[in-house]
Amino acid sequence: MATYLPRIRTRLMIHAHRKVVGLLDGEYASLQTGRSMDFHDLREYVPGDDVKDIDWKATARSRSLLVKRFTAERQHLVLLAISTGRSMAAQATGTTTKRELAIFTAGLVGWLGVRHGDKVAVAYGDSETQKLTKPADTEVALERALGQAHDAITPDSAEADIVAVLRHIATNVRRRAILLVVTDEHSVSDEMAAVLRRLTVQHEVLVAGIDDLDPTTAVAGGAPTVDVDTVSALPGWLTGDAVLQAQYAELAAAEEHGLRGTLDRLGIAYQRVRDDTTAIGAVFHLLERHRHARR
Amino acid sequence: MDLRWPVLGAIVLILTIIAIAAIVVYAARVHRRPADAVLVAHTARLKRLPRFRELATQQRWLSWWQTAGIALAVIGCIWLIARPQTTDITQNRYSTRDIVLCLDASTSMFDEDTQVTQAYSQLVAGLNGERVSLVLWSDAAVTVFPLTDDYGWVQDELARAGRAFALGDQEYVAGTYLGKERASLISDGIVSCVKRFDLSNSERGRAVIVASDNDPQGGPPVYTLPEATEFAKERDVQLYGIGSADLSFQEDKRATFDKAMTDTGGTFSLLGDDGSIESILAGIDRLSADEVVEPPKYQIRDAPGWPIVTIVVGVLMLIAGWVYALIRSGRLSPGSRPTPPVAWPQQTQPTQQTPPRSEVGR
Repeated sequence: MATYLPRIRTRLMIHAHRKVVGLLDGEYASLQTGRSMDFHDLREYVPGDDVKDIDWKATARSRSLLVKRFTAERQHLVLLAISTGRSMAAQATGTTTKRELAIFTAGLVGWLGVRHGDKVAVAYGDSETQKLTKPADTEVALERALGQAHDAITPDSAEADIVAVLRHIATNVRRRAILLVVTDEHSVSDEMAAVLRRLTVQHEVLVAGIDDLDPTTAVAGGAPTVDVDTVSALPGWLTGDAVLQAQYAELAAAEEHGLRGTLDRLGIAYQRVRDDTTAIGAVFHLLERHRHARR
Repeated sequence: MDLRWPVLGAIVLILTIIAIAAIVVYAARVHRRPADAVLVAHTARLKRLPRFRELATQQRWLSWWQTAGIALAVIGCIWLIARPQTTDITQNRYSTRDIVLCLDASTSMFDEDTQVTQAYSQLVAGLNGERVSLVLWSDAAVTVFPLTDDYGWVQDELARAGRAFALGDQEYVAGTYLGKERASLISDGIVSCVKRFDLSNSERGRAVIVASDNDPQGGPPVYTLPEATEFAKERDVQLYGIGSADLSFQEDKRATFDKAMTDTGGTFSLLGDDGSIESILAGIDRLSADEVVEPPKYQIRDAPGWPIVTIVVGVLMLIAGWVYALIRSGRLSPGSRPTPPVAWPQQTQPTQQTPPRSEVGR
């Protein structure tokens, strides 16, 4: 059963990522705006820590850069909003589905929250149903919540509708939370902008965008490509046309630029998650971006 | 153009239409995802790309083109199944002239008869549709072959007669001598030849081409020469004479022979005269004769030409569309190779070891 979090942990514990855990911890810690004044201990500075937290006296004493750690004043709430419409069942790359990528991204942030002793809740849904799990601070609860979201994503699900999920959160979540929105939208609709504007008042909002498979590039193995919405096979002449590929890349870049611009104006950090190898880096960039967007 | 099996063709046509309709309906209803399909989302955005619209338009035209090709080929096949046929109407016209070659087989003519048979064979070569008979006569008349339009056979027989005369073969002319020391009875020969015509009640042109030296021996004949002429005239038979070369020295014999011929409206010429055959042919052509028109013959034969043309055009259209698609996808011309499938997890590791300082400053 427990498959999502162990996978994340394993990924983080391999050698290349050792330092990343600390970095992510630092970035995550800075998500929390309220900081108690109860000093907990000192630890070595890692890039990403707030410069304000550096204990200059201790640093001078120990000759290494030390930052103060404070005991959390209270448990924060990490809210993972995952779009589980059928478009999420499609491929993100030739080898990864958007589902795996979305669960991985949400799970990584949720795991950081659990590590910090915060409560984590998962909101997921499509245009028909929206669900919100009970906030919990255990890995088991997070694992189960991720599993539910994972299983909700099938090619036969209803249409993806992140606005419905966000509205569900707006009406049902009273507490202030760190809200990570995992969606595959390519543009921000007026409704989405409105509900995001509403949510930013209450929460710290971050958006992780899950990328789509480029339909103009041939998939290795020659399997038929099928549109998840219309269930019709994509014509073979889509692939292999250099002009079309260039135009699609241009379109994708323009869309991402537009999406980022719109979210920037709303004061929301946005990062696109392209594939599972770069997902950890993408989450790091997202947290980083959020920190700088806020200040 | 008729169809031999129109019902079969109609049945196949209806079955084809039903099959096509069934496939279309089935394909629309059973819209199932293949098990190994690679799912892609948000492909509708592609429609915004100008190149996509361009390719889609090309594809639409290509599809119409290939559909038309398939339709032509299928229609051609169904047409063939219905077995198109055509009716040939042939109507032969025969001229109804009868010619009896009336050859004096007396010993005195033997030397010249070879030449005469050659003249006859020239004459037969110029005929078209007329029936020919060969009669040898001296004391009595013998029919070598009766009236026939089998010219190949006639030529063979004339050649055989020519060879027999050249060899002096008496057996060939056996029957023309009755042992009464009579020979070359031209008047009886003419009457015998005139009697060889059959179908006496039909309006056929009739001619007898007499070759003789007009030297009756051992008399008296049953008919005199004027009586023979009269006999021929009564039956509307024209007599054409080919006189022996010897007659150029025997003016009286030549004159009576000539008169006997020309009285019936025929001509007379001496053997070896240039144009003798032509004058006879011209005379025969002038013979008034009914043309027998056969009842039209209806011959039904298969006519698969147009269906096959339709099928070939359809198949060629398909092949052309296929080649065009191959060229467009770049699989035929070595100059523009398609981009190879992307091997996926090859993107560079993100800069996790050192967070990008550049972004911190923003």
